[in-house]
Amino acid sequence: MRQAFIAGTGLTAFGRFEGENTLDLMSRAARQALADAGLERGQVDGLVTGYSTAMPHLMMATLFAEHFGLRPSYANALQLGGATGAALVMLAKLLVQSGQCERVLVVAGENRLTNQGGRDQAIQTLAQVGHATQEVPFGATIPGYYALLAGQYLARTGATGADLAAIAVHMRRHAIETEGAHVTAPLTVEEALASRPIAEPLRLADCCPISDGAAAFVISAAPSEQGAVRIAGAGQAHRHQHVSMATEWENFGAADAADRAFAEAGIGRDAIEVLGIYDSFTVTLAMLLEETGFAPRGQAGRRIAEGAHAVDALPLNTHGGLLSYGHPGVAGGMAHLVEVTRQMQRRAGARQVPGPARAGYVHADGGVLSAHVGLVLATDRG
Amino acid sequence: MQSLETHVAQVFASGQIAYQHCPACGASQALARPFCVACLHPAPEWRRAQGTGRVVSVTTMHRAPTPEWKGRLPYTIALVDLSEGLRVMALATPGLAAGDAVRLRPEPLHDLPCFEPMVTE
Ligand SMILES: [Zn+2]
Repeated sequence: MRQAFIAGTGLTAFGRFEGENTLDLMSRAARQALADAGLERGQVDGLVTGYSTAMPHLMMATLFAEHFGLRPSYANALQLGGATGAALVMLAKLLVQSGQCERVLVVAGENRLTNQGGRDQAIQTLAQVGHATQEVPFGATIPGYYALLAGQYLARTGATGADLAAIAVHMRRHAIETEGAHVTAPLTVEEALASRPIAEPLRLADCCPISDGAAAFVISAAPSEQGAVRIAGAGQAHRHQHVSMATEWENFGAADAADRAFAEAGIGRDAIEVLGIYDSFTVTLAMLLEETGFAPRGQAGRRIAEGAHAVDALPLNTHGGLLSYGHPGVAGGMAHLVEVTRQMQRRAGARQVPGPARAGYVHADGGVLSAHVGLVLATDRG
Repeated sequence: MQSLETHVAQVFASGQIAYQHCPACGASQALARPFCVACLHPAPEWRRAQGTGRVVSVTTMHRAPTPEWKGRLPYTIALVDLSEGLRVMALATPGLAAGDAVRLRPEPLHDLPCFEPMVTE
């Protein structure tokens, strides 16, 4: 079968960008990805996009194609919450491998922060991933749903708030080194533990910011001249939508998605040299890292504090993650893959990890650990 | 389905919790549907939870989704495993922890069911 390569990457700064709407931000990231791939718009024959809470539209892919001046022979917009970006890349891989497309532009972005209504509107909109009649009426929010996971996680594993705070500190340290990161004020474990409660046990430092921003890829049958990074395996799992239906503590679907991706890639977890794991909340990162097999149960935060994911160990979210680089919706989960790709291409500049970074794993979840997508990346360097 | 949503909300407003039981296969389900999700039987029957259970997790909210809820901050939301074997979300009184035995308060809170500690006399 044909291989699918990440032929170009684009990532805007994340933060507050007054006056730029969804299409403006998507266009910026798309330009970057095309320039990185050395392609003109007319060479794109496939377009897959996410959604925008700031610009809801029935036909986002066609809307963007017209706006940006594309006439693809295949277009699609899909929605899997935070897992959308990784799912778009999986779809682009399938389109390339099947021969349907040669070069697929993957793009998403929005002005989630500066949109009319700002943070309050975003929080209310996002709360609707809960059950309309049996969860949303209780005044729950996305932080509330994840706080209900965090309460179980801490009670079952014996992990502490300080362990979760170590995750926030890890992301902040990386964001401080990353141009374009949204939140770059220095953060200690003590400061994280003293930040104001949002939905106990989660505090402000446990929660990602709401940002404006965009990201894009070109997925192609031909590799990038900047370094060949191949999508070696992709897997999904969908076992529930609502937190009250996620009753199997040992299996939220993350392990299933990862197992499927690794099976296709034909390599094991031990070959992975760089990680990009979804971190909408500190507890999200902890639970995903553990369920996908990169940390023992209950020990993700402690191991991060001990240096298991330092740049010279198994590097993790070296751009600062959702927790500190920022979270503008679909593009937030794509930033992890941009960073892992650039690390694998040895183009991460001052953040370049010292190790060879020959294989990477990226995992994203949508909803409340509801939709899972895992991607295994390989360079085929010896 | 509108009629199911109305029933769930009406029972919530009385401070209680409704669930569905399948006369064909005996399965129960917490989220209302016009069929049994286990066997697709088209007519599951309504039951009222007896209102006892054990706390799976609680969160006390300090940031609200709507102006209405903002006026009620801080408030506590719980996931509870009912004695009937179903997991549900509801409001809760402050101070509960995972593993605590709970029962529904006789009176609703904000027209919604609310769990309180099970008091042993
Ligand atoms: Zn049945």
